[in-house]
Amino acid sequence: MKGLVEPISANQYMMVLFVSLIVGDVYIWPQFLTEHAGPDSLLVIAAATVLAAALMGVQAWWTMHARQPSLFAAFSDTWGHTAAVGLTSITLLLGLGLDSVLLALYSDMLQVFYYPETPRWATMALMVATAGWLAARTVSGVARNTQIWLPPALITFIAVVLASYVNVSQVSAVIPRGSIPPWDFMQATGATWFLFATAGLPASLLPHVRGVTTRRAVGMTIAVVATQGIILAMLLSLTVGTLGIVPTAKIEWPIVYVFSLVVLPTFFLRGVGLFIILSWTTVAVLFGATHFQNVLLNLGALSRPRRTLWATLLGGLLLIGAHEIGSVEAARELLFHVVTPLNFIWMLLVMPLTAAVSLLRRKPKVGKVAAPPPD
Amino acid sequence: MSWRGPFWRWHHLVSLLLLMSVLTTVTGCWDQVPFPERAPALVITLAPATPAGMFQWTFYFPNPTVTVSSLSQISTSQQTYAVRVDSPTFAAAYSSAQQRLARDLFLGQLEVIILSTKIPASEVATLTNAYNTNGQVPKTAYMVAAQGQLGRLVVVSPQETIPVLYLTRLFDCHRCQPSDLSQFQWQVWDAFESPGISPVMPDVGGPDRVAEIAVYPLKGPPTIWTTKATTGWAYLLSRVHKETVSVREKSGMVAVTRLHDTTQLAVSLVDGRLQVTGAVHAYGGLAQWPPLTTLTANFLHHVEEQVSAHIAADIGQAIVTANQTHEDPFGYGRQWLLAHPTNLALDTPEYWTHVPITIHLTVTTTITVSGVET
Repeated sequence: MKGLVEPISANQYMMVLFVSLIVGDVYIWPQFLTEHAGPDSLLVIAAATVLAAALMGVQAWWTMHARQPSLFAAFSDTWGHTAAVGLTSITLLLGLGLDSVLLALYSDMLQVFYYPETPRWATMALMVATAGWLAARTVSGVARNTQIWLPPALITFIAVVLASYVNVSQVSAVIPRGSIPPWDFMQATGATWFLFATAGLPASLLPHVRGVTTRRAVGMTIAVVATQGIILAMLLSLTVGTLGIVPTAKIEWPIVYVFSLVVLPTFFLRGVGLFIILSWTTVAVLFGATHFQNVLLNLGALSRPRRTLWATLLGGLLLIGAHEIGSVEAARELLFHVVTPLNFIWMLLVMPLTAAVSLLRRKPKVGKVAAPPPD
Repeated sequence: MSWRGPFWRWHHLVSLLLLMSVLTTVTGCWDQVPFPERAPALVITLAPATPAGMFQWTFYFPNPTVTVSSLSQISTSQQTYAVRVDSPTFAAAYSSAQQRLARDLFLGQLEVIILSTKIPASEVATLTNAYNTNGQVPKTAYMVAAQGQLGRLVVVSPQETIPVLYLTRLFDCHRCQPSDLSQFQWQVWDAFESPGISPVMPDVGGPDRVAEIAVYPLKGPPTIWTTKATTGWAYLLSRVHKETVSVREKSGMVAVTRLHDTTQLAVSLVDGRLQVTGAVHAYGGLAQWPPLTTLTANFLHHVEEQVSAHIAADIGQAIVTANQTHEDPFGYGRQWLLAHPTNLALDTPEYWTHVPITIHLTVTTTITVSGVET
């Protein structure tokens, strides 16, 4: 894809990838996790991080190996055009399904804690509109916006997390006991996948990164996943250490709840947890923008009005999806029992297989010197 | 993007309008009520009413006619106004109170919840849960238990100006009191939800007397622990920040101040008894001793032993009270459960109320002399 797309830097790639993962962090996962994995939740997070790092690392390697400008083109290179249409559509649709569930949950959280009188569609529509507006820009446009907004959001977030550690009193609740049955362990690991799902964003984005080697691409991708794992471990130990295992499983939004418990009496604002919502909504908008752009990049080189049109269409789809889900109970059911497992199984099946086929079918390109072997 | 053609194109105008509408709507002005139109409750008191299952809820608001300059001239009874309703549930109490108010009843500024000690534990658990499920009310309000007329505790002491209440200021300063007895609403809720720990609230004996705790057993009204047992409880949870102990030496009275402690405790379940073993180490400073006594290492050592014995007696009193009342405000049962997650059969609150606690402790004290005299 030339002309329209200005390359981004390696740092920008890491930030965009990070923002495409991180929004799920304040979601309801500790509740589900402690309900199913009890004291061994930290082990589940560790396993999910390792698995995600492996799958995303494989994806990054395959992208660099295939040398194609998007996920769709890379799939075409490995599987042929017809199969690639199917593979890409399923990957992107599963990603969009996950996004609409997350959107429904986020707007519910805003309503529960901050805007009781505001209709949920209003917050959703605003966030989607801003995200779509951003996504219709170039890759570098989204990357630059991420570069501006992510650091302050992350700094506020980390500051509130650290301030919340004052309330941790049940350290023994966090220590893994290794008592979880294997099947429960696998189920819990699969159910945390939405915290690592990107719907092939590395494959769409890596071709636009300036001067990146295969080793660097894989390294950066794994580093982002590892950072996500560290933040998840921090949040889990904070939540469970503050509330204990049984109460954590009873709270719908454990992390936001724990943030609301920070009290700094000397500070002019009693509830510093409020800052989270300012920064996190920014992150959620960026999250939407990166996911929209992931789709746009796979539609080929589009003019600006066409990108706007597609972004509007995608945003509309997302909104309808989020609206149709209805209650938060339905959203939770969908998230943990349908959308996340589907995304997980799909990536688990497709990525290693694709990488293996790509490795076997590798042939030197006509008119070019054979590519150096992968690192 | 190149700037060919006219400077303003129609899509620039559209994006500008879109941006403006997003910026104005994203503030969430649907939910904004100007503060003068709100009635911010500072305190809720809760007492049993007739018939059984009904409660008398009283919401206290700062009196809007009181200005800072008029504060010194008015009596304490005028600083707040109250709205009293009878209702079985939190939600119904909110609606009934709202009906009496011309302004929007707002609980976002709630600071203290005062419960009558006549309300049994099961009812307190239900009400705490109902409060906790509402996302907008602050979980960082303090919960206290009290006997008698609850309204007498809602005072703005001469030390403060409205809207700061005496109790809020008292608990906000976690390290000002000899022992920190404060409990946030979320901590009480958390204890009610966790097996193996009895919920605790400070018992407010008078408008300015908070030295005891009320502990909630599984059923029935809370028990009020003595000051001695309360101090023992605070030592075991390292909630002691500047306790003072006076002991009598041969030559006269000796006082040790600024006592605080660290604990290292292990919990095991042996023959159906919770066995707590470990060490409590206290640190303090020598504040008073007889004038003609020279401070020797021997003398200090003797004082340290006496102080340790005093602390051990407090702790012993706490354990005895816990066993008598079948309560565990220390959370030893919970601690054991967290370490042994597979024993699901023991994961019931009923089980833990009948487990006696035995404790084997080494109490040591380090006393430093830091004044101008030696």
